[in-house]
Amino acid sequence: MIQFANVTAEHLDTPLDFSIPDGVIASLVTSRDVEGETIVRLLLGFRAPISGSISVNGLEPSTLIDSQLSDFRRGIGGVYHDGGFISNLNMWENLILQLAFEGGIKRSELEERASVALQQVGFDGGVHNLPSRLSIFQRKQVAIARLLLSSPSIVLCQSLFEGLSRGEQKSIATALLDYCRDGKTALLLTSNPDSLKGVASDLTFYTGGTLQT
Amino acid sequence: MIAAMGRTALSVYEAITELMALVLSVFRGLVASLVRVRKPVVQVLFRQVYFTGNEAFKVVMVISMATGVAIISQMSNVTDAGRGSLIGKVFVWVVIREIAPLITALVVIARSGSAIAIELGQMKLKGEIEYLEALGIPGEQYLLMPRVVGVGIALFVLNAYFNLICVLSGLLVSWIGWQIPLAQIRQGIISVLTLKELAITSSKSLLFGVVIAAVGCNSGLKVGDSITQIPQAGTRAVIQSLIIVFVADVLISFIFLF
Repeated sequence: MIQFANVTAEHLDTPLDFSIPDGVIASLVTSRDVEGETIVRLLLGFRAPISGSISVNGLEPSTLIDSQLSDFRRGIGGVYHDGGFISNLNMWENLILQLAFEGGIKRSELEERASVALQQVGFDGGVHNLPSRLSIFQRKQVAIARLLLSSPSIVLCQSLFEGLSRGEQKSIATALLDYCRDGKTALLLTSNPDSLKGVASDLTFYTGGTLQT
Repeated sequence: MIAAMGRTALSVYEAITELMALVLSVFRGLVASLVRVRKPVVQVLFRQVYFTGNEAFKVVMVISMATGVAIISQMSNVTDAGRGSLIGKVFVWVVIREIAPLITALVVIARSGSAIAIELGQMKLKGEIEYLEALGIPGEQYLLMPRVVGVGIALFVLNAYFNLICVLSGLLVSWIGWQIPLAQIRQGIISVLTLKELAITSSKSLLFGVVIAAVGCNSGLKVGDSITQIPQAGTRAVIQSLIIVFVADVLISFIFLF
């Protein structure tokens, strides 16, 4: 459950007041990209609201200490506007980074799981290329493959369908829908509602509060 | 005038406080990494040692040989009967104690200090540090600690190589060029090379490495929203590192003097 109660913060045009129940894929159309970025930062605890409260699975991110924040953030996945990768690591290193850091999994098993995840999203690019060498579509495919590996219960997507062709949008939407099928919660943030048209009809969108579809 | 001095004092105080806070967070990252070894962190550490140590080795080798030859050339003017012994002592007092840690630090400041600041500055500007922390990977553990510890280790090793190559090249040139008996120089070195001298040179190189990397990290993390701040971060890292390294060199020399 994601809950915003009268939240005001720098870069937010209006106070936010909405809640997204578990297992729902919701979209939130913002007036500017920076508003979406701010919402992501608030949800991940990088920034505290000026007023109001935010609750994610019963926890208020801005009140957590560093060690708690790391655990909290592992439960939230992200597909950001540029994919959300470290530019000096190749895509494979980026893909397995989170699980390799957490440890407790054999290298051979990790490699097998990562390969399966890439197949599931239909990735056919060079996995040993740096992120800058891949298209925005391929980067978003790997970002969804990373979700499959780490299996977070909440997914934040920023400008998910922007910069993609119609076919690529459908492909990404299908991959995300497949991932969320077993009760995962997703929040799609965009400042361009047109990017959701056509693609969005395949998904179940939350329409309560100030959220729009 | 007094106001300007006050502002300068405040900015120096702020810079030192920031640096101490960063070193403290690096220490926390080190403790966390020792409690639980994480493979990606070890990989970053090895890469840092490689890029700082291995790739700077050729530069350090050339400078150390040139320094050794230059010192011997100057000492050849000494015509005393026991000049071999004096040359040995000068190597320990001047090269091992002072020049080696300073010159290797200067090489690392020029190569790695600015590079760390620029790399972290770019990561900050592109939002990659937040991407990393969004995965539940603390920046202090994955980004800061391996860089600071890695540069410390690399500078320690570079300093040892500098000493070795400088002394050996000096010995060779003095023997071939001026026929100074090697036994005399060796005797001079042995007579003054104590554990204290080794502690001075080692502690200086380790401390300089930690300071250079910490200053680089701090400068990089201060980059805001503008791309023009990235080269500024590189320049700031070089200047701050130079000042701190030279001041720290004097302080350590005084501490060991008494």
